[in-house]
Amino acid sequence: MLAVMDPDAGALPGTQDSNEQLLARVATGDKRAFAQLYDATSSRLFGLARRLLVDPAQAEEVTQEVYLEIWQTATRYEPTRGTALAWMLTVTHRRAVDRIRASQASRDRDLKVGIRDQEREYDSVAETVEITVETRRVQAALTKLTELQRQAVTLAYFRGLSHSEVAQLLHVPVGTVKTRLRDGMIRLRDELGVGT
Amino acid sequence: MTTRRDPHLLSGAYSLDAVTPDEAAAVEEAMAHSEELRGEIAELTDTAVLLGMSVPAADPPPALRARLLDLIEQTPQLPPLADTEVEADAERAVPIAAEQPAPAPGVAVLRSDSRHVAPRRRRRWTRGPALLAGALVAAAAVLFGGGMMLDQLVNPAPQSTSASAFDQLRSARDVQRQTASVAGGGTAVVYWSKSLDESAVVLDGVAQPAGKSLQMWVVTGGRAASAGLYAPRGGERYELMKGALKPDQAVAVSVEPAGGSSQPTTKPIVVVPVAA
Repeated sequence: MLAVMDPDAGALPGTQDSNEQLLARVATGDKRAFAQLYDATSSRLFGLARRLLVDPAQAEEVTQEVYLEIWQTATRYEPTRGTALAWMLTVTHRRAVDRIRASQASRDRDLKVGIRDQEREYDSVAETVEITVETRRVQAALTKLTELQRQAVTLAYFRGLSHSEVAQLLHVPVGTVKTRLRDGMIRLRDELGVGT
Repeated sequence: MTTRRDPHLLSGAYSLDAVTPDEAAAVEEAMAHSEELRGEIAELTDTAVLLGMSVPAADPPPALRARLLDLIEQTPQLPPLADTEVEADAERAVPIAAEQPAPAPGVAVLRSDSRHVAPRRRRRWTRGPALLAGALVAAAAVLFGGGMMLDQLVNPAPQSTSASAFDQLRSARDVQRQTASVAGGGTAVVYWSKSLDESAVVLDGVAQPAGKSLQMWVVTGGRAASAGLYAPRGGERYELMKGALKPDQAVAVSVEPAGGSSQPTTKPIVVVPVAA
């Protein structure tokens, strides 16, 4: 049992499994693979959860929830659907947003003061720039959106706001936000070359 | 909020998790019928992932790793989604029920759940909830399989007539629908039709608590009137209620002592307001 619990036991230096390989092994109940997958991805997942939830304690809870879900449903992951990390980030975003929505009352309060923080929000989006290829590409792609598209997409994704909350914050009709979110995401998709 | 919407218009919001549960359900329904919409949502979700990749990494507290490694020791994994999933689940989930002639009801729920996501077609993971709902149902089968079996034995009921009644309700010209999240996971959808003078509650991803009952309530101005037990038969997951709902009402579901109570004795696990 000890060998199983120790993720480093038996891992040879330089033999790094891909996340997809690890996830496939997790699906067979391999706990060491789970620990390795955690080590390879947890800073990404926790980073995203913390970005959305701000509160580190809540981000930790959501991250725990997500990894348990991954453990339970690894059997249902199919590599043809996307990378393991893509799946895991999708689940993380969803669960973080669920958490935000669950505390709707405090959310409403936040929204009232949120308008004040709006400008800061965009600043902090800019601050999130890591010097990585992905970040540069995303950052560049975001500049190709109209101002309203960019605001709507970033508020929805990075702050977990619903379309109606975005509408309230930006003082535009909900219908407008819905179309801007779609147009903005399609533009981003094309700029980032997704699906081509 | 129950007026007709174009789910296509919501693809961007959906991929960003910026829709209401009700809208998400509408988008998922539309996805089952539209290859084009499925493709668009797949791509936009992949695009959203790239936004996620642009967020700086941050190390979680070390204790989380140890806690998770402990937790997975006690957490069963779900069987893969396949045509044989029901059989596979049955073996795994309710071993105690092996001698029972009836199939385990909690298990069959999985099948009716996956019906909504285009059976046999490859499921995308773009949306967590469908997957999670299945996960919770299966986990519920593991945890509460015995309890549900008992319930089934105690309350045998005909299925075929009410099945068509629910289909009738769902396809009624004036059917309306509201969705809400259930505390502890899962969703509740309430349907009602004035012309049929009928309503229904559908719980998705909610466990039947062992040794207790789920009871439905129609709440009017702070007063709760029992609308019967939520105890779907034969692997279905809806329960019909007499009468249509009015805008000032809400439907609540609570965990009650087995057999139900005359008034709610616990905080409801979900309250679905009729007016959005």
